[in-house]
Amino acid sequence: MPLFFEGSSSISHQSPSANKKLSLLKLSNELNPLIEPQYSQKLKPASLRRMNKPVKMGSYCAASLTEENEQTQGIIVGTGLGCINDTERFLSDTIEQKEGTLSPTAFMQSTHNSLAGQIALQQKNKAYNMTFVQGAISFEKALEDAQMQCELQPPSSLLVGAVDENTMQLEVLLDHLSSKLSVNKPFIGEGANFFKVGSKHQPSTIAELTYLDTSSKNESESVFLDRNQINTESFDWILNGGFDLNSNSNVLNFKEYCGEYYTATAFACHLALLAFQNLLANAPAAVGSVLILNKFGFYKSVITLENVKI
Amino acid sequence: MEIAITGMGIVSAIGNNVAENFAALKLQKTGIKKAVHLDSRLKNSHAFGEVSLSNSKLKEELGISGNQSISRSSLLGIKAIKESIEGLPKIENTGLISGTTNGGMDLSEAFFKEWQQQNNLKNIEALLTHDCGDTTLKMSQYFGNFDYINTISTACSSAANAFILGSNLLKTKRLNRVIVGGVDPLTFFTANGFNSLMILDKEWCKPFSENRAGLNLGEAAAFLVLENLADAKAHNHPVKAMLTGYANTNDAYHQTASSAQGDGAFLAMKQALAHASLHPNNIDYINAHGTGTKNNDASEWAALQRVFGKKTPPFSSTKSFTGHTLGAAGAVEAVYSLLAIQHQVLFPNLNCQNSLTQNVASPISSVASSAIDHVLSNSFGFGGNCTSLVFSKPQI
Repeated sequence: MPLFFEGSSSISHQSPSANKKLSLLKLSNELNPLIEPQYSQKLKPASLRRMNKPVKMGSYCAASLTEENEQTQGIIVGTGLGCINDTERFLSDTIEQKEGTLSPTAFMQSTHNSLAGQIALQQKNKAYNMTFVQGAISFEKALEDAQMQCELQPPSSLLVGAVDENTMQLEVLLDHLSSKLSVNKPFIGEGANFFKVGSKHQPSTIAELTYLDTSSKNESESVFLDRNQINTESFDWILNGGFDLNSNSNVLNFKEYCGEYYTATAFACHLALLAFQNLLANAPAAVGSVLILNKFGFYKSVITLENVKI
Repeated sequence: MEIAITGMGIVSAIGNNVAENFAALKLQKTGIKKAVHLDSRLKNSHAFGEVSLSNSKLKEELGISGNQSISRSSLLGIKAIKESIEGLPKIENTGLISGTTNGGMDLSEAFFKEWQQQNNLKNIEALLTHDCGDTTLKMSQYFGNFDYINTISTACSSAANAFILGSNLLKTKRLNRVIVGGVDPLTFFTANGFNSLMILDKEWCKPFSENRAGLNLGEAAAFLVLENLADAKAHNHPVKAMLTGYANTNDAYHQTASSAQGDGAFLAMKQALAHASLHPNNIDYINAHGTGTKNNDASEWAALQRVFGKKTPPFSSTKSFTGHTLGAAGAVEAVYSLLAIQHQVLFPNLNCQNSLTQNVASPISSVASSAIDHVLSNSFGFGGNCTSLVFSKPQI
């Protein structure tokens, strides 16, 4: 059974523009903050107070994609670093207080699955619940799991998404690390991108996932593309996250718009869905097929999507 | 497709391989004691289930250079994976799935201490292996790269979920063989985290006992090899047991606590039995999650009663031997479930003086021979994640 996309929800460094075409702005190393929504529009104030940024972002996106009291048949999340701010906080406090009496709040919220658990709580959803943490292919692993669910026990709907946050301390550490390794530090982005997917083609269906593969073997780009039989010429639009491609009007280097982070490909996926719905000024007209390529350290991934309305 | 288990490997507080773990279980000898390697002052006040091997000893044994920056997670994982695939010929399309909560935290926290206290940035490269996925990548690289890797972090059910994902990868023909399991080392971070939650027992943990006072943390790595039964038979790979049922559910009750009636646990067990096409009375042994906390054991017992009624099969928590090994627990207890099936023996639940289950059933009190065809193994965690697995004796 194929996997179909029914909708997407995103929090990124780009201002969302409800119901009109979005024009993406290139990020510069100046301050390009994350554009956060009014979380209280979708989340209850009582639970909001206890949420850290990634949990807030992901829960908001999840709530935007589901009706009140709607329970999807699974919640699948990918994250490279998880709740890194609470992790840093609990670690720093423990060192500073020499393992004295500590508040458990940051520890409790530092676990990687706290977002998927929170969405389950929000939806009162007792169904399948997973969290993948495979570095720069964490979102792809979540999507692959959803694809398998569609093949094995066709679900009517699943919630799949990814989240990663940036922190002040992460910036400082990456500055030190980049100078030690003599590499340029890219613009570090953050965000959450969630999708409602299912195994049935419905009137509301936007796109179909036509191919997905990942590699962690440090293969060359050409070996990776050949092995996956990807011909870059045969797609209407390419969202490129670091491959060495001839740049032309059909290629968008998506990390110039979302920054570098482990689950940036989920942002690219969101852009593809916007393009299919003719909601993105930066995309060519009438996009029928999209190729998303990503490279990060040893990892490479490919995702292809098709517009079901063209 | 029927899923066969053709190999297993483990390193835990009660032994550095499967045979040593089995021997300690039979001798009813716990591995929970004063920690040596853990860099935390909690080792003066609390007991831990620590693996006896130091990092340098592990590196030496595995032929890894002493100055290579590699997490204890990866070292323990590599050791257990090595044992799990011993004697099995290599085949194409082999994957590795690891469940973990710590990832490279042991190296990150050592760096943070130096940085925060002395502004020392010397070991900053250690952060490159902080993320959980990288510790799995390092294990894969040691073996010359598996064709597929993935890492799951669903708290204490992480490794149990690796079995579900692995089965799905075999059933959808994405892989021919998959090594599934998990690893978590003892760290300063988690030791203090669980201490801040006030759920650590300073003495030996007492799962399912009325006077239980919390859990003991442990560390371990365990990995098992899954293959399509037909392939395993065709290639004469030894079938140790079958993975016949599994289910992943969520308690949807609280970020860290379990519901009083154990809704998530109840659904996981019920659905896993249904998936295995088994009736509750077909289960011969339950390896319970049984952490020894007030909340978990009460909730799990409520769920057990909902599934099994008054006829609860013999059950025990082997965390009284190993401590709670968090992300690795599901795989550690899968190895013990397989040992129970292979040797037709029930393992006890140590330190249960006065069972909370009185009048209905009580946890296994000592090693006993028993006919065992089907074992249920539970793994529940923070975030409401609940997973139950069913292992069965292979049919000859």
